[in-house]
Amino acid sequence: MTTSLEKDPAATDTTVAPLQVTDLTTTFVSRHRSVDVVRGVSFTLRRGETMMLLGESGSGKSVTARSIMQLYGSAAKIGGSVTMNGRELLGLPAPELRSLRGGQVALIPQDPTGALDPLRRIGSQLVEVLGVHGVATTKQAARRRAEELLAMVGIPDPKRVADSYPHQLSGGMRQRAVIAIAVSCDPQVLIADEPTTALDVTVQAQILELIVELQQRSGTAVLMVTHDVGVARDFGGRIGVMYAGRLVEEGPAAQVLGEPRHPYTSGLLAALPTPGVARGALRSIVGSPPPVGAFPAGCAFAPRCPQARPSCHEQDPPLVTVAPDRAAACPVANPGPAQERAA
Amino acid sequence: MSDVLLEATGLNKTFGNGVRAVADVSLTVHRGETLGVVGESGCGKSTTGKILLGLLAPDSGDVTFDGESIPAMNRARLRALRARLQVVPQNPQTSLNPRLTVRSSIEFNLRAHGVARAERGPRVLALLDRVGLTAAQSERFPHELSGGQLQRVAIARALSTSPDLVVCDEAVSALDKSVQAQVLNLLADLQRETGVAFLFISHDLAVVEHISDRVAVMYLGRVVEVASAERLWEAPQHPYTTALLSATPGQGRERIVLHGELPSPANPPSGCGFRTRCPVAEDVCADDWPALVPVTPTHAAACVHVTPQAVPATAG
Repeated sequence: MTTSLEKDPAATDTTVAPLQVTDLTTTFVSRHRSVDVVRGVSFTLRRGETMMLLGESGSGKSVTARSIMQLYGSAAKIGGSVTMNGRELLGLPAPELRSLRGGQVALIPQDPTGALDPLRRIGSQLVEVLGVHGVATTKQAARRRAEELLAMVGIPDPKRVADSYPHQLSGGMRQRAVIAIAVSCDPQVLIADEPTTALDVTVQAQILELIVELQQRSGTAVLMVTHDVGVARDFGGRIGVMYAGRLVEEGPAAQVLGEPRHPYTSGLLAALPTPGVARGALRSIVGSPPPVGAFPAGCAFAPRCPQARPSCHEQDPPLVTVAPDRAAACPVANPGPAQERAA
Repeated sequence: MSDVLLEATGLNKTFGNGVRAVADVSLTVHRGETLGVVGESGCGKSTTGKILLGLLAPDSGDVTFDGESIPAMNRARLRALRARLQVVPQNPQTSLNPRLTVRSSIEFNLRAHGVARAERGPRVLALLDRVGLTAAQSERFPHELSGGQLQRVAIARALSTSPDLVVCDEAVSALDKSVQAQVLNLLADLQRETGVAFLFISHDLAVVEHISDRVAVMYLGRVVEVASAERLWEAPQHPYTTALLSATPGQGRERIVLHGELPSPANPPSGCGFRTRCPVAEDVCADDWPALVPVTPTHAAACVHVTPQAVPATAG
């Protein structure tokens, strides 16, 4: 199966990439005001690839992920384009969206407790998903598949867990159950929104390993949202660094985290305590990330940026290629060709 | 004057629901040092902090502050102690009174400790200035400030009475990383200037390693390893510490993935509480929790596999 897919020329053709996001904007609207949270995010997720969205609170990383699934209903206006295998998702009628969610694109949320129905057994929640998406046709088949899935995500006694209510399981077990539900219909795109933030570090390691394992087995493309640079470093793949609703830097994780080009990325990395390395003052970034609804004009990072130029406060630099396979939204990041282009 | 500021010996605390939150914990904080306490949720680190602060009475064991037993103190003594023993809690949004300006919150603390009215105002402004807040910001209410600014207020409030020891319970955990670094730097600077000691409780090993002189690792209510921060990082002795270090993401150590999860503190396994997840557990581990064995004079671990070393190769 997998080998035939690997040979598929479509796998490298971006027009049919599992997920392509172009100039995505999300604006939350209420009676009194509207707030721009995501302000023009573009990226492509290829088959079997991992893309990390890394950012601090208010950077718009989770809203980007959830906007792709259009989970905000009428609370948010979503602009731009989101295509799966070339098919536009924005503006799809509700019934089609419903069959898509949990089917071709699935979400692992941060808090497994909130994601599960507290009044229903784990098994019945899995069976429901399998039924809705037509993966299993009979009750018995669905139940069998549910137990297989629970075993696949590393739950030692799937029968007992299938008969348990969420509150009877530990946080790590609940997150495994949620992952089982997410992968139950073999999604092409798996969106993991801080999947381990609510978990202890030793359990976090288990869950991350599980996601990698499932991805390798099925070739699912994974979009992972995290605030944790360590998690991003370990996970590899591509990384998009977000700040104030925009992607400020993008590229292979090892390169971006090894040799950051955007002053925000370098500032963030320098601010992390590095165990085992000579101690002393951390190089912090002045100020704090701007709250949603109060993003500064021009480059939103300029007020905190040690290298800001006068023009940075007026013009928001676009995300441009600064090296092969690397992009950054900063005039300082690129002394080379991009500037000539701009001039 | 002894070098030991705070000493806890044989602390035990079992809650009404049968959870043995703290079991046989002994810790020492020296003057002017930072002792880090690290562990996962439910390991008893915050309960230990509350006992050390005198906010919670231990079932058994003793805590002495400058030689005086905290559980034995009467209300008046305890109140006097609080000027010297302060706390920076995790969440400043809930620890600061939402109806008071931040200046009033700090003044409140000064008033409680009998500072004269005329002295309070200038002292608050000096404190806020020291933690990087302006006079204008001192008139703001908590909801008008960011998380990082609020945590600076909480630090200013804790330091307002010139304490000898401040217990920081997950004090930077709720902050964004770029802001967390500022607060960690501030704490280090304040310690250099005032000689205050910190008991720094956190689940984040990288942060604890950075700020602490010495680190105690807790698991299931017990201290399983104590060492200097450098030594713990370079030569961890307890298998749990090793796994915890390797599970901390992004530092390229070979990862040891522990199986299973923390057992319930209400129903811990027999013997060593870590044995159900331990990669090197043996039959003997089911008998007793091992005592802390000194590996070097300043490094101890509670594991049957740890043998006291006269001259360890990795340490001088």
